[in-house]
Amino acid sequence: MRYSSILGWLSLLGLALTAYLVFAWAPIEQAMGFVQKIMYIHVPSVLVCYAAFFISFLASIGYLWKREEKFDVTAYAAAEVGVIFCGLTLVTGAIWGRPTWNTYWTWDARLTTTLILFLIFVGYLLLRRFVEYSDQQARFAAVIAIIGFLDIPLIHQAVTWWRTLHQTSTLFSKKAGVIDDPLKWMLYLSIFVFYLLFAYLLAKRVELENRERALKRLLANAD
Amino acid sequence: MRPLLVAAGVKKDFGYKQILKEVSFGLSKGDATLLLGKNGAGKSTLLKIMSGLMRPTGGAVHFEGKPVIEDPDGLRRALGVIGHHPQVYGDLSAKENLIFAARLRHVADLEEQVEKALVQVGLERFKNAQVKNFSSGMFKRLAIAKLMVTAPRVLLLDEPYTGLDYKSVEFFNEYLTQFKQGGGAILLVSHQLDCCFELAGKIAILEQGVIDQEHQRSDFEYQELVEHYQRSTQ
Amino acid sequence: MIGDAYVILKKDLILDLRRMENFVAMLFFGVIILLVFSFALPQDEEMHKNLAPGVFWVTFLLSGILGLSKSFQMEKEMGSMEALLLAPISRGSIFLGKMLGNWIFVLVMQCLLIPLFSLLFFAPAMDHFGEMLALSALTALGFSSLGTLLSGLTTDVRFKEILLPILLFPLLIPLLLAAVRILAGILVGEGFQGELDWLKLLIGFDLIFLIIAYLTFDFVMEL
Repeated sequence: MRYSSILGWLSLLGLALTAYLVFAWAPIEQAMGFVQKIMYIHVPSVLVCYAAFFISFLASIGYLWKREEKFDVTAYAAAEVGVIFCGLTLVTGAIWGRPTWNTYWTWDARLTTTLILFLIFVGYLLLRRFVEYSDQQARFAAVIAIIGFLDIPLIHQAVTWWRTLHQTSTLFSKKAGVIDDPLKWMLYLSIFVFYLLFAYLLAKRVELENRERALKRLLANAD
Repeated sequence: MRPLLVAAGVKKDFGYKQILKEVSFGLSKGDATLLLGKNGAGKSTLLKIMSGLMRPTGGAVHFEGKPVIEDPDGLRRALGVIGHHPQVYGDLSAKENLIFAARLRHVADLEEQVEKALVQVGLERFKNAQVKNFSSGMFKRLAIAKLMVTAPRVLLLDEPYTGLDYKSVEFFNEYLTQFKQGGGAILLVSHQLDCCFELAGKIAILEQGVIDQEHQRSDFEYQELVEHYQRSTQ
Repeated sequence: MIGDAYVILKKDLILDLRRMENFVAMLFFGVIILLVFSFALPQDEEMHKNLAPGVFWVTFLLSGILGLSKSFQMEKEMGSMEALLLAPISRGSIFLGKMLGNWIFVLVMQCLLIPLFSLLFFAPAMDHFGEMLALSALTALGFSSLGTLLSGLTTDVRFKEILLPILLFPLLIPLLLAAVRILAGILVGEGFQGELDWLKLLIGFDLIFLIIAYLTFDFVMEL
């Protein structure tokens, strides 16, 4: 596939460029110091993770509606990539939390929401393992992805009321000057590059899943 | 005459394996079709698809000309099924089980119907006993009583003769013959050719995921069919 | 549709009555969990006051989940699930019947569990019996909506004993948090007034997942 290899090269270049700029160009943030640079992984990861689960949610609805395998493959691939970025968010969050909040884990609202989301979609992947490949597997998984995604606002609201300590989402707040300009542009760039990487991984995973299924189908019917 | 229940190019994958490649055939009113095929050929799967329990991977099932997917309740109202399991609740009595099935089908004057059916199948002595201790013959009788109460027009029977003694087979066949004569359509899967040979008007053989042709039962002598069947299952 | 749901509900309740041992087992499991909590946590009246809401709902979750799986287990035993699916009724009415059956089952259990909770863990709880039961009714509604859907989904899955809680508990976290907070309010004598926001969240959860579970149950019940 041409398409996915272009994406692959682009994201590789983008990642290299971002890494270089993060250390060579972006200034040190004053309050948090050097450790703040992990933000360029943490924030893009969480955005990619939510995008991935959203795609999985949409593809699941598409599957239940149309019953076409391509939707199932997309939902599966997106959920898997989403879980990886979700895990990355949790790990970078913990590393970031140690110097800033003096602890690896805090029951902060957004971190907790992400953790619960991680658990739900790990459950989704487990279910896929426990049910044999069939249209039943696809239907069951789709139901879980849909409920799981729709649960996010409720989980978030509940956890926010329950306890909160995270800095409010500084990135998208209207007030100018909350994040210094170069830092902001750096973050935008890294988010863009992470989306590219996500698109590449998703395309690759879909391709792989399609091939795997085609191969298994071939083997199962060869007699 | 247009067949009542039709499988049109039905395909089914089970996991990665294609079980049904292309199955097309129809069930007509007043006729019984015997479906033959070796173990694992996909007979039970085909029955589940014909009953609307399972969606085919490709193709469609039509009931009275309408796709079953669009109006599953239309088929369900007309359908009677006997499967591998008794399909009853062990902790309910025979009568309660029948009443439950009848309620879900909105049968009129159901108490009366249920009592009548229980007498006809010879279970009235056990009507208030919980069915968990019934023998397989009694379960079959209960299943027939259920068919009597719900008055289906199409029967899908999966190995209905297993576990029946000679008398019960006779009784069951009597019911089926009457059902057929009353204009009902029957699809029957069975390995006990001796039990159902007389009943079946047509014979369909499912092989390699395909029903290549439907035979008239009158094309066969019993012995000939048995030999043919033995060859095909080797 | 309501009529069909009622027929199924009535049948389930009769089966539950004839299988009292299921209920007794579930109740005793609840008692054992309470006992374990009493032993494991410090014997301190003041401390118990703070822990009471959490202990109560954890007991509810752990014993309630046993009730969920039995509902579809009964249908499997003699293949009656197939008969139910072959009946000319909407899958939605099967869902409603089963869901209400589970709801009543869990609620009856709560009626007995509240006094036992008062006896074994936190004596003043009995003064708030009515409010606790009302809260249980709301909590059990969301619990049995999602629970019925997911136990229907996992009936045929291998290792379902572990898969059901893995899928269900993370999804129930908003419900659990709300129930804990409201109960805390009730136990300090504020009734439902103290935590109105949480009450809204709880009712919102109930409604959203009642509707979604009702709608997606179709896809779970196909073979």
